[in-house]
Amino acid sequence: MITQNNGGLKLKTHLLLEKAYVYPIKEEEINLEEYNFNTIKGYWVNKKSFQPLILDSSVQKPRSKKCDRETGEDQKGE
Amino acid sequence: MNSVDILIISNKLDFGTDYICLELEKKQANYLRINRDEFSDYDIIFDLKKLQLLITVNDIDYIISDDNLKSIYYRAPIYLRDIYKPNIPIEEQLYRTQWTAFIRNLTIFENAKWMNNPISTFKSENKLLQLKYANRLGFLTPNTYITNTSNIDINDNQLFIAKSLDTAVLRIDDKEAFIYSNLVTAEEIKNSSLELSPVVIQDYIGNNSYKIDIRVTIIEEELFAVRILKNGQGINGDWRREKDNIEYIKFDLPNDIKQKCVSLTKSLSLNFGAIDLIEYDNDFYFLEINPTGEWAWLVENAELPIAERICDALCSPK
Repeated sequence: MITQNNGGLKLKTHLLLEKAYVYPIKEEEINLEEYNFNTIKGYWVNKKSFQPLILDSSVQKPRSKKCDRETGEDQKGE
Repeated sequence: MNSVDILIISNKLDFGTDYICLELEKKQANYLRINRDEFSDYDIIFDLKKLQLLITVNDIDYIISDDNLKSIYYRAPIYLRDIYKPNIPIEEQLYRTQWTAFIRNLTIFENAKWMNNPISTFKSENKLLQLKYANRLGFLTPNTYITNTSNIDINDNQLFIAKSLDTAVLRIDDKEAFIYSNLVTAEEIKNSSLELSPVVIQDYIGNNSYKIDIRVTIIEEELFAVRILKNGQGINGDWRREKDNIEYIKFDLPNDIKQKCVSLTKSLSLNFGAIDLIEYDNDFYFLEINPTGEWAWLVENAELPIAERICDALCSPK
């Protein structure tokens, strides 16, 4: 809860803060140990099979905007 | 020296860009992906007189010149929003502010096709302007107010959406908070505190029965639409809160709505856009357009050839 002290008056929590969805900060979900980023190809490749990561059926692909991160497109690549 | 036709500005963990590079490789295009989180590993020289950018990546030299460059796929923020993160080291602050400015300065490549030009993205992220243009094109839009007072003349018997004017990712101790679109009553708004920050209040489309969220992905003249459903039905409130069993069903929009979507994208000088619509009571309401909209989540779920069409656009003349 965030409150604001304004000249001695304590304001109520702002509607957007009241409704905000709070979640634990997650580390990267995809384990990249088995992959290398190939700078010529411009995509991640499996070290053994040389398959592109995004074609690897064992890797969870972006299935919803949430998989891009909690904020999805709103992260704007930051 | 490798001449680059298509420049991709991304970061290493942006897997959506992997789809694009894989497709460009299939097309045997001359492309280069540069990652914003790896700029320190590259040697970069921009020669202003020649309008040439020379980049060395892993001992391979690339030349990007105004004469040869066909297109730029820009997967980067237009400005930094994550000031909520504490204790960013001074080196990182310098890195991020200056490289962000550098990639923004690449708009000097004025002959290339941009998807999207950050100048257009900046303009298009103005939600009020989007709604103004959408109205002008004849889209139905919800009544919208931006306010910091709860003393607002709204119908007591109606539901509303309360949402932030721009992306709001907030830090609370060791957690983050994200502000979705929130379904609220008139009473909640009138009893709330809003002084601290402006809030967008919109009439809720879907008061009497379920509305259906629609995502439209536009690439130049081409367009893909999906209905977003759960258990075969539309979802009340913000569908992004739903975790499981979401279905994305592709379908054909009516021609006039298709035309409006394409026209809106063009009117904002965008070559790519992701539009959120609401289908309700046989009408389509415009909510917003995302110039940096994500699409990778639709590639497998809805089998949409979005990466292919983006690459077609990147490979074709301006």
